[in-house]
Amino acid sequence: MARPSRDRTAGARLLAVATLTLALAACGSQLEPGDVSTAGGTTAVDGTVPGAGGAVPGATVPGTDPGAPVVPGTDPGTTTPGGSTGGTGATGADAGGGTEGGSAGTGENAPTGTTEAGSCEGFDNDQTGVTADTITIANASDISGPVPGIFESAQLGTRAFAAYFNSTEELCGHKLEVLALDSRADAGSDQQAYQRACDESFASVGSQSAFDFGGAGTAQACGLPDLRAYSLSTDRTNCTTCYAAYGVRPGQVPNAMPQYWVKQEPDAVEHVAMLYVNAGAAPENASAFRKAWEANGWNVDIFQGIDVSEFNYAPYVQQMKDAGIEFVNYIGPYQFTVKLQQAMAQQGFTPKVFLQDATIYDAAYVEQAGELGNGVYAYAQTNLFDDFSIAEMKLYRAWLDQVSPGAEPNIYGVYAWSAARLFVEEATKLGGKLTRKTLLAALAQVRDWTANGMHVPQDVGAKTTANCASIIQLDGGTWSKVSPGEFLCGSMSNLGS
Amino acid sequence: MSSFISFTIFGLVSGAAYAIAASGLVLTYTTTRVFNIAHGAFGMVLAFVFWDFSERQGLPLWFSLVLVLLVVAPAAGWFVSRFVTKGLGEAPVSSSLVVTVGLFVGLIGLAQQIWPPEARFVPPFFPETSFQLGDTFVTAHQLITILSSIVVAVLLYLLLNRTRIGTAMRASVDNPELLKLFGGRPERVASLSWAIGISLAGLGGVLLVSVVGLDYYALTLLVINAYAAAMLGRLKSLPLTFVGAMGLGLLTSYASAYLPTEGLLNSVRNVVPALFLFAVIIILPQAQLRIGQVKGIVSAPLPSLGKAVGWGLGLLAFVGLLAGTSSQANLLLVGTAATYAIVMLSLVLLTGYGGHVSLAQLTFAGVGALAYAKLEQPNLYGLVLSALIAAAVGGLVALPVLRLTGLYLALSTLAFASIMDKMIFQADFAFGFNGTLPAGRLSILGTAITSTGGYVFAMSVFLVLVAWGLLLLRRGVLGRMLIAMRDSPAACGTLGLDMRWFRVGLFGMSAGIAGLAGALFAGLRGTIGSADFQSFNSLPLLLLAVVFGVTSVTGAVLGGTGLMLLPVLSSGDPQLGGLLFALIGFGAVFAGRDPNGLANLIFRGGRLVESRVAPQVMSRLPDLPGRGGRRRADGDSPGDGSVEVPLSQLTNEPAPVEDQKEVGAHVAARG
Repeated sequence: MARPSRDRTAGARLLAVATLTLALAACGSQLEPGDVSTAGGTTAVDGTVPGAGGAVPGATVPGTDPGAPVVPGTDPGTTTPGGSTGGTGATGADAGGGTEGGSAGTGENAPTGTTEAGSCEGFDNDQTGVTADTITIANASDISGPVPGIFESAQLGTRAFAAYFNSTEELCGHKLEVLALDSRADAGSDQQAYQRACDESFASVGSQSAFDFGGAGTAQACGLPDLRAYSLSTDRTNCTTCYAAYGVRPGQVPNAMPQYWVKQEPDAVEHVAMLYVNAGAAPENASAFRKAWEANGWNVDIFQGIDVSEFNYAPYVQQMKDAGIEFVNYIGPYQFTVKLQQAMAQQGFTPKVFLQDATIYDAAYVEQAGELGNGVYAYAQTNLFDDFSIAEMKLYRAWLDQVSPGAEPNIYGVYAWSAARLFVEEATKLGGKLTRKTLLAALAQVRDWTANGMHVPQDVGAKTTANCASIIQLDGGTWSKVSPGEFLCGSMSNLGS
Repeated sequence: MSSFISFTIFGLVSGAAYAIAASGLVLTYTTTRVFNIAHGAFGMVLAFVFWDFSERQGLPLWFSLVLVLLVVAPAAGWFVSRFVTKGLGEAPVSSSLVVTVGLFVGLIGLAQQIWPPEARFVPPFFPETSFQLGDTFVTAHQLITILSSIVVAVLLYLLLNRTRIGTAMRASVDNPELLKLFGGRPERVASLSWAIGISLAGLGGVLLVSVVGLDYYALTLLVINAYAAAMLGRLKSLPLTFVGAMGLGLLTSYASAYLPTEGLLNSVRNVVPALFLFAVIIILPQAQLRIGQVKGIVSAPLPSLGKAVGWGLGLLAFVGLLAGTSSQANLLLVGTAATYAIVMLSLVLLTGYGGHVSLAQLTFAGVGALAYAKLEQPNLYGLVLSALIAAAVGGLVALPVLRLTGLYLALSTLAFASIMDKMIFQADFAFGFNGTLPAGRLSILGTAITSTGGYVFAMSVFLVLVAWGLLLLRRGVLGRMLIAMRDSPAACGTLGLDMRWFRVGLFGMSAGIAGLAGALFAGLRGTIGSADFQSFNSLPLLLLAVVFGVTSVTGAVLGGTGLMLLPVLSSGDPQLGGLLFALIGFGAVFAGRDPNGLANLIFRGGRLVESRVAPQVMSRLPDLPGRGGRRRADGDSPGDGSVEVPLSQLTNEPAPVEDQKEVGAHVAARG
């Protein structure tokens, strides 16, 4: 009988050690040392859900002074252009919010821009998603799923603009309400979300989903105007009621970026390696890019996909070394970019140019890559997020901080904000004539849309790929523009879809 | 030539990582006969713990390593062996697989809950140090990985073959009772095996995390590649496992270097580990049947014909009500639940009745959907043909491995699913890369079902028909053969039953049902792509099927609903997602031993109500003319074969009730 007892004692001891160790890892120590030291000395944000009506938590607007304290639920906020503001707006709308600590623009940066508002006469409140005082716009983005929060920035961007609009404006007596839906990185969920959007909202705005083909047919079938942040799939591009602030037409590749590198690095473009992640749209895009860039004078020596489950990138680096590669172009998530760059550093392989799309223009990449990221180039279809000479960018950053304090800006957020602004401006123009059909007709006419300089001109109505980009470089954790002018623009390679 | 040497070195680095992971798998299987699907998940969680100690809390690297490998990991292993896998080696393969799949899902959920998504980085050991071999640089970290794999292999070999405790480890799996008679303690031996096994998982995780990154899935799924290496050693031989791991590592490296970058061979590159696993399984020798064991389980009770018809019609009425009142968006959810429920019915046939586990049921559904979309025949003909095509594919999967049983069969389905995912579904003749296909809504006898409500109702009709078909099959000769095959393949062999072709047919039928579900789902969605049938999702599908009861139709219907609701609930609060996964996963760990699942609790509750409450209610009701209830108790048979005994005649002796649940080997006994 003694043995079981000893077993139990030993077991209990072991369990106690394990519990202690796991507790150390998982529970109490979730507090950062910094948090512990400041505990009790910080002010918690109020319990209001950002963008859920009432005031948003106080936050410092980048580049501006913090706003004055406010009382949630008081009068609609008053704003001071470009500076610190006070007041708050209790709109009752989902995306409503005050302007505490917020920012406001004038002229083209005003919530409705310089658009001449259409007459509100005849405004039909008896439309789907419209009540006497609200217009509901849906946003279906990937929030949960295998990579939680992957496109939450698109939803935040939409909510940020709606909050900005609601702080001072109304659309024929209507505030904007955002119906936040989760497409869960799944085509079926995207379809289900769009079915809800069809039934409960006037339009869908600023959405971004990895599998956006799921709801394309549903949106078209119910006539839902779907003004997305990005359009990824062919199904979504072909959907007749779907537009995107960042549109992509398969087979259309801009020439400006490859031509820039032909001029800048004529030798390096003779020895190019194009590597891409073997998942999603990357292989298809890579194939199109290869054709277009070779047509522009690049010589692609290595063109290879890397599986998502690959962890040893050294063989690919060795191939590049053997082939004398001087220019590396990678297409894939930034996490895999870091893996590739690690392997390159380990093997002492330093090409003249390492280039990727704007996927790596992300704070998480900068943090994760560390010194490996130094010198890397990206081609971006937005202006720099920190370029506060662009008033609209400043507004976006300010209102993003309002609806989600501490949230990092990224390309999806910028284009979601852009989509929301475009919706508001077109709806304002239509005024009392606003219906799903008239909005779609208006969107079809939109060309050269830049959201007041936030991004490259986008032919939203034509659903074509943008023909401009800028080249930015990371150095010491900071991105800066290296290409001349605002953007490099040029012709397009049409490779067929 | 120098490049070849370089690729060889890189291959050895990959092989070393596989070897460490595979060694832990082999150790736990050799000593406890439990194949730990969650091995990679343990490695992932321990890598997060390592990051937490070393990076977030700033503990010294060596101290963090010691804490993880010598305290946390062994403790986790001990806990698992004592409270999770105890006695699991003697359970049917389906139970042990489901329990470890439960751990797999639960650990992913736990990691998401404790360490929410954010950018995290674990640097390699000695990042500044590397050694040049010709044109190739080998980093200190890579060298440590290779050396660790060699040390692990040698130490484990010595442990198992040259020490008393090692001999006891091997003896415990052959006959723990005999080991006890010789003074050994099988439980302690199992605990030690698991402690070492999980430590090896941790070592693999810590060594790989700087390369793979701290990711919930990448580290977890990477170890699946190591299954192939472990399988070369037939899950027993450590030297062969080591050879298999190194061979796999070299193969993947050479494939990266020398296979063409376009065409079919390019896609082969991505499925090298899966092809390796499939090839190894095929060349495995004939599996030995274990003599002297009857691993029966008491199945959920079969409903009487009347009850089956009644509940089926009740379900249809309920769906009909939903179809008339729910929004289109919610109807899509109901249709998704019906799809999952039909796929789970295919598991009821295969796992619940037949005792075999498939980790590729959603892939079979994908085959059905692909066939349906490609046929462009949105009618009954197209639907049936799609199901038949999926059935043929299912048969083809079982055919090469018809000599094998249990675990090997399950792993071959895993390899098949991976190959389909990365090679076939992505091909131009299928969905195409990232592509989709349109799929029309079904028309029956020339009448197109265009409304979502009508279509969902039609789906539920198919669900009920399949369920009735399964119940009929279960009652017949075929059903009894299935149960016999599940309970004791050895006994069946003794009786002269050749189960091999029977098993191929069973796999085919099960895949056909899944294919039917996929085809119906394609019609519901209108547009279908390979992303809708990712092989990874077959794991939670199996899990939910078992949690809710893989032996009953009720379990399948509840499981389908549960699987549909899981992402819906977690999307309400993304943070809740991890918690839900953890709950479901760890719930399955404890429910996995009883494949009758939660449905059985409902049945028990129903019987309790029937036996205790109903008589009291009936006795208080006035005896109206025409009411048969109370008179029936006076002697008339209720018509379902059961015997009712008046309360006054009850004694302590069991009533002479004919057992309708099962006939045959139901006794979980060891001979």
